[in-house]
Amino acid sequence: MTAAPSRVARDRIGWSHLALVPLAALWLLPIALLLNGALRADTADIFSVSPTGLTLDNLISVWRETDLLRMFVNSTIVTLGSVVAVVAIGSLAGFGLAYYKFRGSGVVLLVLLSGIMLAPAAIIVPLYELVVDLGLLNSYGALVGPYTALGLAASVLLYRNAFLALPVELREAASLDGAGSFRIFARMYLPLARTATVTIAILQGLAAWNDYILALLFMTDGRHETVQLAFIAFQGQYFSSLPKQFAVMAIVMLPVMIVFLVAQRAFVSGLSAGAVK
Amino acid sequence: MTVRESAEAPTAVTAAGAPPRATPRPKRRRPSPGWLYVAPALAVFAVFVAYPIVETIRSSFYDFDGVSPIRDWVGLDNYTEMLGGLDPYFWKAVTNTLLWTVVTVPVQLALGLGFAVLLDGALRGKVVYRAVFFLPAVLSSAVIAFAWGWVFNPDEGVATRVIRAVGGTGQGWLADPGTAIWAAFGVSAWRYSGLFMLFYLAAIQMIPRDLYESATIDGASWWQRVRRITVPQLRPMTVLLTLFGVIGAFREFEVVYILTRGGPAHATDLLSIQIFDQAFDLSRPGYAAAIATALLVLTAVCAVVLLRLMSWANRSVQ
Repeated sequence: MTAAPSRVARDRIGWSHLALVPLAALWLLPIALLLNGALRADTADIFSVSPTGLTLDNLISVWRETDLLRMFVNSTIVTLGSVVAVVAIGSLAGFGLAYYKFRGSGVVLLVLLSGIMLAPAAIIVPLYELVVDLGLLNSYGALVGPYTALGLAASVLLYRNAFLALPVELREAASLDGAGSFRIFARMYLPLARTATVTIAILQGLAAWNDYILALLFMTDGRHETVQLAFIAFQGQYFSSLPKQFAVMAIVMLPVMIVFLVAQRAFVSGLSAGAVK
Repeated sequence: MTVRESAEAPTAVTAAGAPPRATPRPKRRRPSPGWLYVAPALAVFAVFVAYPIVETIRSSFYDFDGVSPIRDWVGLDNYTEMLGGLDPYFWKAVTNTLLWTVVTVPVQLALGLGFAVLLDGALRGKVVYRAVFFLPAVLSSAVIAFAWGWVFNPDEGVATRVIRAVGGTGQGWLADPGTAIWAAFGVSAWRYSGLFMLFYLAAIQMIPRDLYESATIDGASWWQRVRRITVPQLRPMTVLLTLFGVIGAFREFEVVYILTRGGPAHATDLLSIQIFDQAFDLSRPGYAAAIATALLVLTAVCAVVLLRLMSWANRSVQ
C-alpha cells in the first residue's frame, strides 16, 4: 500500500470486518462441524467444542476398513476421462464454429448451447434406459458419456470465444505456410487457448468429481462406485459410530478442499476468465 | 491458400475478407470442413442429450412400469392427471421450484454483490475471505448435504439450538414442513453466493477506473460510488448471473434429495425430485416423463425470456 487510506476508507474497512467475520464463521460452520465430528472418539462428543480429545483414529481406521481407495480410483478415472473428452471434443467443435463460417453453423451452436440449461433430471429416465441398452451399466462409460455430453455446451462456447479472439493474421500466416486446418488447430489455436482449457478443465473436473445422482443410478455393483457414494456404501457398516460416518465424509471432502486451497489462484483466475468472456 | 470456405460459398465469404479466387472450384458443393470438426460434439450430444429429450417427450404419452416391455399409449392422460389437479404434489413442486427461483436468486445476487464490493478494495485478509466464501462452490452435494444435515439435526444441531435459544420449540428446521424449504434455501445461498461473488469481482475489474476517479474528485462518498457506478456498470453481469441462477434453480436436485427427499409431507418437493420419485420409486416412468416435459418447457421459457433481457441489458449499458 502506497498512500495512507483516507479516514472515510478506513471507517468503511473497519465496518467491513464487523460484517465479514460473522459471515465467514457461518460459511465455515458446516465444514468445521464435519471435521470436528470426524476427529472425536465417541459418538456422544461429535458436537463437542472442547479442544482436547481430538484423534485421527477414525480417519485411519475408516481408510483401512473400507474400499475408499477404490472409490477414489473410480472417481479419478471418470473425472479424467470426461475432462479429456470435453476438452478434445469441445475444442474441435469450437474451432469448427470459429474458423469456418458455414450454413447451419449458427444452428449448431444454438443446439449445443441449449445443453447449458438442461436439467439432468428432465432426461434421467431415457438416459438410464439408454445406459442399460448400451450395456454401460456399471462401467466407466456410463458416467463419462453423460458427463461429457452435459459439459460440452460450456466447453464449445468458451473455446469458440477464445478462438474468435485470436487475430485473423494468425490463420492467414499459417495458411500461407501451407498448414492444413487440423495442423493450425492443434499446433496454433489450441495452445493459444490455454486459459480456456484451464477454465473448462476446472469446471468439468468439479462437475464430474462431485456428481452424485448419475453415479448413484449407474454404478451399483459394489466395484464401480465413486467417492460421492461413500456415505451410502458405508452407512450400514458404521451405523453405530457417528464419528466414523463423519470420517468417511471428511475423507471425501478433504482432497477437493486441499486441491482448491493449493491451486486457488488457478481456480479463481480460470473461473473469472470464463466469467468475463 | 485462403480459408476453405471461400470455395463453397464464394459470394458470401469473399466479402468477409478473403481475396476473390480466380480459379473455379469443382461444381459439386462439398459440405464445409467445419462439419467435420463439430461432428464429434454433435454425435455425443445426439446420443446423450437430444435422444433422451425426444424419448422423454415421447414416453410422456405412454403408461409403463419400466420393467415389462409393454407400453400402453394413453394419449394426454398423464398431462390431464398432472395439470388437472389429480396430483396435488405436482403443483406443490411447481410452486416450490418457482419459489426457489424467486427467493434464492436475489439472495445469491445480493450476497455475491455485497461480498464482491467489500472484497474488491484494499481490505486486509480479502484473499482469505474470498477463499472462505467461495469454498462451498467446490464441495460436492453429498458432502454439503451431510454437513448441513448435522447443522439442522433435530436433537443437537447448531441451527436447532439457535431456535430453542430464541424460545422456539419443535424438531428444528428440516423436520418441520413450514421451515424445511427455507432451510434448503439457506443451504443454496451458502453454496453459490461465493461463485456469484467471483463473477462480480471479475466484472468489477472491467469497470473503467476513471469513472471512480472523477466521482471521487466530485466528492462522491464510497456508498454513492457503489450505488451510482458499480451497480449500474455491473448490470450485464447481474443479468447473466440471474440467468445462471434461474437455470441453477431448475437444475437443483441433489442436496434437497439427500437432505429431505422432498419431505416432510412434500414440503420441499421440486419437479426434479418428483421425476425421480415417480420414475424410480413409484415405477411410473411415463408419468415422470410428463413432469420432465413440464420442467423442460418451464426451463426453456425462462431461458428465452432471460436471454432477451440479457441482450437488452447489454445494449442499454453501452
